[in-house]
Amino acid sequence: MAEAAFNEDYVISSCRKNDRRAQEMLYRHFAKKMYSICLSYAGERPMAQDILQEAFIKVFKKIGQYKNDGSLEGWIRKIVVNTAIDHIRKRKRADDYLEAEADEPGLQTQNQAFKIMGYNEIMQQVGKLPEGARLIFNLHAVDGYTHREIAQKLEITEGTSKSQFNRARKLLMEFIGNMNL
Amino acid sequence: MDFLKWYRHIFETAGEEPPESVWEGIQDELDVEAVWAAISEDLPRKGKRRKMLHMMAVAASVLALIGVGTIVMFNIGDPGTAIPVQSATRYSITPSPVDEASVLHTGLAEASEFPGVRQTGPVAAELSIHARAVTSPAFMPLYPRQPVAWKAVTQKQDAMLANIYVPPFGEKKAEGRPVNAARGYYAGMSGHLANTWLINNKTIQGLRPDEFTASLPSFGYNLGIIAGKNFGSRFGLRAELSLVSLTRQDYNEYLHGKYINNSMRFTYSNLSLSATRSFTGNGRAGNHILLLGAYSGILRNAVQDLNGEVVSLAGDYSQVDYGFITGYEYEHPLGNGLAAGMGIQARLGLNNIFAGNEIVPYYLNSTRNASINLTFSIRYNTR
Repeated sequence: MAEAAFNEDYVISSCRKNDRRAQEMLYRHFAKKMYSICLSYAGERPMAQDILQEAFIKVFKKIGQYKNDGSLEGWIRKIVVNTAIDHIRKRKRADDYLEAEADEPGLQTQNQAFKIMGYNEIMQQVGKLPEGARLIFNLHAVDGYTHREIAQKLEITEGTSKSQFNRARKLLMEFIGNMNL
Repeated sequence: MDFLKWYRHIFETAGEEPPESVWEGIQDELDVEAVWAAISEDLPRKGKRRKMLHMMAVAASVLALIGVGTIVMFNIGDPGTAIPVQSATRYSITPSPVDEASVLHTGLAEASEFPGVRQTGPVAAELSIHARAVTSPAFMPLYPRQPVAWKAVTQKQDAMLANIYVPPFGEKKAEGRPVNAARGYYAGMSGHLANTWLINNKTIQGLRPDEFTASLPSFGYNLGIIAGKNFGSRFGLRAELSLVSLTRQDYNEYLHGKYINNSMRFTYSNLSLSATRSFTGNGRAGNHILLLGAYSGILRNAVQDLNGEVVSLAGDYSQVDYGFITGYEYEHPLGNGLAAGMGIQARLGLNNIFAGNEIVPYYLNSTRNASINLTFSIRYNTR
């Protein structure tokens, strides 16, 4: 469907009446951005697609609960992230963390290699992270959750969140560095 | 640029479109939800509906019994067949002396034995009933055996009867031209142009403007033969065999992200049996006929046409259908015993024609046939 002018109020009210055209309009408007988020959490396309599908079904079922006091995109994004977390938990791989290792400062700007990398390459590298570490990394790096919030959400300690984030970042940059060497 | 900022930026700007299968999956899931919502809403009502159907069936049976009883009752005393319709003209009563002895001897066996009364047509019919009644053993004891007095009384009564005769609804007294009161047997050909509907949840929901699937008005036809018998001028029985009866239901359906035409087509052979009630038209006009009856059909073929892709549904639908018929017909005489009929019929199936398949059991997609038919027939009436 060619994307017509997106009238948010109209689309929301029509979605509340289960109007399929409006649901499709809403989906197509946000699908690309939300799919990227799903990919960043899932690290693989099939799982990202499952998360996206499940998340939008929740969106359409819960659209009646959406209050127009915040941004619609933010509300959908929250559902997508929570769905991703649930998904990873269901796979019982949320505690799939990186082994403890001494931090090596200085790697974070290794040749600024990341600047010349494309989306697909970075996706490939993100996919190599253990799921638990990737989850923490994305929650903090992409969605801006604090370590305290992450700790509450995932029922881990704040320290675990911090250390997993740092290790994930380091590992990711190493991957990227190796690719450009 | 900081790695984390770059990472966030690349996910927010670059991205990629998800495959179409994701939206299809969402739609499927929502459809399943919608179907389940409809089912769960429908389930508590099922019992009530079934009870109502049973009550309707009982009421219909009672009506049919009353109808048949009425026909039989009227047929017993109806002298219609004994009186030539074409002879219904005028009547007159000319007082003249009556031979008492002959009256006594014959016991007023026939109304025509009144020397002073010449009767034909409906009047004659009434008089004939009267004459038969008074000669019946049950009636006789009411009259004392006083020949002269009795003769005078009956003669008076007959003359009164002739004067107060009120023709049946719509029929004029003797106007020089015969009224149209078809009697006896008739047979001919019939055709229907039918606005057909498959009554089920999908069709009903498709009538709501905010629904995704649109149920479209669909048209079919019936072709067949018709035969019947009129019992007197009012009641009759009619059988109609539709050799080909096409029922269809079209939808404009949103499937996998696009609209497609979905046409369900069912071909039946139907046999209907109806009781008819005629109201003779004014003067030269024809008959107005009301009918009430039942039909039964055998499924010959069932297909679904999805944008030109035709699949057979014969296994999913019941081989038998049955239901009610009610309608109106105007019958116009064409001369030489021929008549043309035009009318309208409503048909409602009572049977759930959906037999179920490996995905949907029969009770979750209860489907009935219904139609509004414009009917045409041409037939030959025997006398």
